[in-house]
Amino acid sequence: MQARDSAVRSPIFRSRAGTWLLGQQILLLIVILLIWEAAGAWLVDPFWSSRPSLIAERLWILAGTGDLWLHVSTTVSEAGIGLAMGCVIGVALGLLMARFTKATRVAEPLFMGLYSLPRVALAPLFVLWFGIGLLAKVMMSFSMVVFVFVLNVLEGIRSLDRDPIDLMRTMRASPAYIARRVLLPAVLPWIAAAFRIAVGLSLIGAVVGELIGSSSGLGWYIERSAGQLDTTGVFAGIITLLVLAMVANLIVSLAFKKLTGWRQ
Amino acid sequence: MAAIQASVPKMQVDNLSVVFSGIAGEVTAIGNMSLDIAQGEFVAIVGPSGCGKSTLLKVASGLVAAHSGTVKIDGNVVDGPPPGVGFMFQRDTLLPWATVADNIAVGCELAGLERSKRPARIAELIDLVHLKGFESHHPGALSGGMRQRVSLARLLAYEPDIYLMDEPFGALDYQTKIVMGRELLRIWEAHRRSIVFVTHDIEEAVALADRVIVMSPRPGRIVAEHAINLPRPRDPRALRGDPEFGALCRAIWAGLSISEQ
Repeated sequence: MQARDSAVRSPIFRSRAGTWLLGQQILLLIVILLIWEAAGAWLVDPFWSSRPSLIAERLWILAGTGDLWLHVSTTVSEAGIGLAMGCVIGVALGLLMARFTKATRVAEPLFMGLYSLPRVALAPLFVLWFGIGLLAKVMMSFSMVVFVFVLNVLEGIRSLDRDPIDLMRTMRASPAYIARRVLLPAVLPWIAAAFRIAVGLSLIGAVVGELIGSSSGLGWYIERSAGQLDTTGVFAGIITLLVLAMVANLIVSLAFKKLTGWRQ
Repeated sequence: MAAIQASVPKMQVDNLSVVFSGIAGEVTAIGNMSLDIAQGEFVAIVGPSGCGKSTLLKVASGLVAAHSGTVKIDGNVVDGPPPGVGFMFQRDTLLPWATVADNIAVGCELAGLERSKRPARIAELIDLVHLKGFESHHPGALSGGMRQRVSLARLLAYEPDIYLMDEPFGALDYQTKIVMGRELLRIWEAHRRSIVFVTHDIEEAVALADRVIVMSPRPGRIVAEHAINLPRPRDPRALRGDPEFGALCRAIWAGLSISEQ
């Protein structure tokens, strides 16, 4: 958690050091794009690696026809709903498992088995059950993220300092008061950390679902472009996913920065 | 009514035994202990580690169950945390994510103080424990002594009738410990609530208390009791050179070393 926190602090624009860092980050991007462009022009056939200029042109066309928005919104809603469900159900399940330790011990091998199971293997089943619409991808992305929330909440509660709780018990605090004053603030940073991991996983779930069977979405666009040997289309989809992931990470880290501020 | 209340001890320990069962078998933490603490009395309990002095406080505050015998607060047998009992741990037990003011607010909230009166009360307590200017600091940014001051303020905010203090200044350096002792006496002399103060520091016990109880280790039992009739108000710092103070400390030391044999 600590290492992730420090990585998250990078996109701060306020200070001079922050501006310099941002400048370096943009510079790195430009250098990579230039090398890519040059390689596409002189070294490698653009059939294999495409070229940033071709990709930008494709994205521009897709944006103009409205296709870009269609695919982005499809993928984002699949991942977003899966993430939200995973968070709500995962946190609730984590709290229940922390509360009922005996039942948890009974279910643990099965739970860890499911956690280690490559969720991709479930995709055909989900298509069978939920069709090739939104629901199958939502479930796919849900199955990717729910474990992260459960395990983080469990770990957060296990690492809880008992002394403040004992102290509040001597002051006759109600369980609801202890939950609000100790449990919730102690577990929130763990939920925030789970979010950071789960954002990427929810996108994986959505895209994997789209690769298996769908009619729109960035995964579908990539799959279709590959089928037509359209490398530029494949990269246009990948780049869009990359930007989505970066924006999502930025939103999560900004949203949770305040929560973990006391650690600094 | 007032006369009846005055005749009942604030806290009564009757033939209390506490047994813990662990991997190594059963350990008797407290063996058949009896003790009365009067209304407004300041009692210190000293003894080597493992003599059950902390366990006694945990039973009195309802955190640990008695094996046999009872602890009564205001004549009522303790069975779960009783009202009007304030506990202070050796560790500060503050909420790391809450500010100084917010940590003290916990005491106000659990005392049931009206929301509108809380800010003034918190400000008053922060002033009392000399933490003005640190209201919005988090515990991580404070020294050990300051953190215990916050703990003390939170305890005072709860307004207990009896203070159970488990080596509250044990983790502090020598000087801070003496300063904190003086602060505690100042507050106690203003309100005169009962205090049960557990410590392993004999000088601290003698400087603060009306009565010092000496306990032996496993099973924890009372081996000696010393009335401390030093005049009040006391200044723990000035007392260190007092010959009567020195004699009392030596007498308690002697009692402790006999019990070790």
